[in-house]
Amino acid sequence: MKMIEVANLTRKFGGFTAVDSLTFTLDRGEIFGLLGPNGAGKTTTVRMLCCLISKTSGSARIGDLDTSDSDDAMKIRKMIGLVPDNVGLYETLSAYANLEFYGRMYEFPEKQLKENIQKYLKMLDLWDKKDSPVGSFSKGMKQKVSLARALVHDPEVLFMDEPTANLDPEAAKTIRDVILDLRKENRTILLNTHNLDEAQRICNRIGVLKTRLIAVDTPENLAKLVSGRKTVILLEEMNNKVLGVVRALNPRSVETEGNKIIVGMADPDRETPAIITAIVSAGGKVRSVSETGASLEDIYLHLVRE
Amino acid sequence: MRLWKSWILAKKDLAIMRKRRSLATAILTFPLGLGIALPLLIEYIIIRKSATVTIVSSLLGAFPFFFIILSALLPLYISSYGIVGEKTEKSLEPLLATPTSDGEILMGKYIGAFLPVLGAIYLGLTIFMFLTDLLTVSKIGHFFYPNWGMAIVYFLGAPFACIYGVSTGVFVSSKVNNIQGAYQIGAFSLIPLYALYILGEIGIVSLSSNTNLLIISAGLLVAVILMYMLSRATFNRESILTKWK
Repeated sequence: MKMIEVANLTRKFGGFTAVDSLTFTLDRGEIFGLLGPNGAGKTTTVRMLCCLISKTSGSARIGDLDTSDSDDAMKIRKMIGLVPDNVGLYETLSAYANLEFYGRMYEFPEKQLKENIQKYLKMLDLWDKKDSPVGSFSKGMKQKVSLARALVHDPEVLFMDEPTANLDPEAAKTIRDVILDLRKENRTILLNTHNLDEAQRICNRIGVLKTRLIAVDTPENLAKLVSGRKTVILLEEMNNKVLGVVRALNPRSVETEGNKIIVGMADPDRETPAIITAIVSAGGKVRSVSETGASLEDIYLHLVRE
Repeated sequence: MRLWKSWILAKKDLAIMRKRRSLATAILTFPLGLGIALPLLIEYIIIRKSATVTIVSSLLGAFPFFFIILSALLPLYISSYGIVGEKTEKSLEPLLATPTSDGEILMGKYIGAFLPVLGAIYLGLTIFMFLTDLLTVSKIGHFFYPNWGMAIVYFLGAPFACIYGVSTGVFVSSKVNNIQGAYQIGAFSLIPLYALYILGEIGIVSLSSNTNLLIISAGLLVAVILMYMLSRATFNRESILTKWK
């Protein structure tokens, strides 16, 4: 079942186009990462999907509800959770009071609310600090409370805007683990992030956004889309004769790094044996052969610079 | 409009107010201070200056007007704090993401600023009446308060001024990013009230006249309606997230 359906979604601010003709869908239980540089339109997209700001054109549906219908908008807000880029907590209130307030604003039943507050504060290692004012918390702890706030009313769809930005590795890992647990619970998550490694580890699919959506696919397919795969050949000793025979076979690219020859090729299964045979014929001694794909960073930089 | 949702928000604002001592102190100190200081001033005038009954009665009639001005000034600060505080803590976005209408959020902000201020004003006015009667009964020969003028201030002037202050605070808060700035700009909107007091002091307008107090209250009601419409137009999700500073 499609939980988010976006078609030609556009938002302009005066003459400036922040989001241009965005089209994508998310299935129930899917984690979709939106990658893009600052100003690419990630936050504007999330705000439109959360019914916080209007669209200029196009359509966006959450479940079977239309974000541009005011009655539907109220229902959508009830079924979604938002982790904004700024934690936006009430610093003088305790973590418990913050969650209790939001749970009530989400019209969540009181008994379940108390159970959920306990569940999420314990899950995020904050139960012992539940009565402390949030203002006394570290950045990581505040981000955890912000995540708990987005979850406290058991939303079906979650929007997360840079949830691990500027966090220490331990806090970031806790949040990533919770996100992965949420996937097991079949929640649909749209994750805005700058963290390529995080996107690769967590997301089922990734969209690269630069005002327009310039690519959408699984991390693995995106890697193939951009630069194909590379074969790394480690030689006992590098020499020009060996390098010459490799270049003579016209692979997509040839780079050297110490005693390594890194060969880019469109079809490694077919091309690698021929290259190894040529190297051995030229007197080269091969110590090992391995294969590598393009990193998400390569893909991202390639796409946003295009 | 679901008032129970507004009440949840108002309760949260009241809880924050209780935690912020400076805020709670500001709300209580001025009305209570005025409630004690004004009767003492009257006693001083009676004893030291040997004022006539007419002068004392005139002063007693005009002094409650102070509470009308204070009723507009204090919520200005509280509502500015409520909105600017949400802006600086960046908590408006998650609040707006809840299934709550703009009107319900605005009403919550109104209730959260209106109730504590009006409560403190009523407390100050009650102390003022009690102390004044205690200190002036021997001079005047009867209890001056309660009277119709005080009833107008109590039930019309002070609540209307209070709502006016809240609305002005909400409107001004959308334009600035600090509480002091919002308060100072908002205080300018009270110039007509200051002017009225000065006109009363120099004898051009009688602030002890019930008719005048009713006219002033009616004027405040008109200002409340206009200011509410303005703040309602300012307080909408789209503007808050895309246009507010």
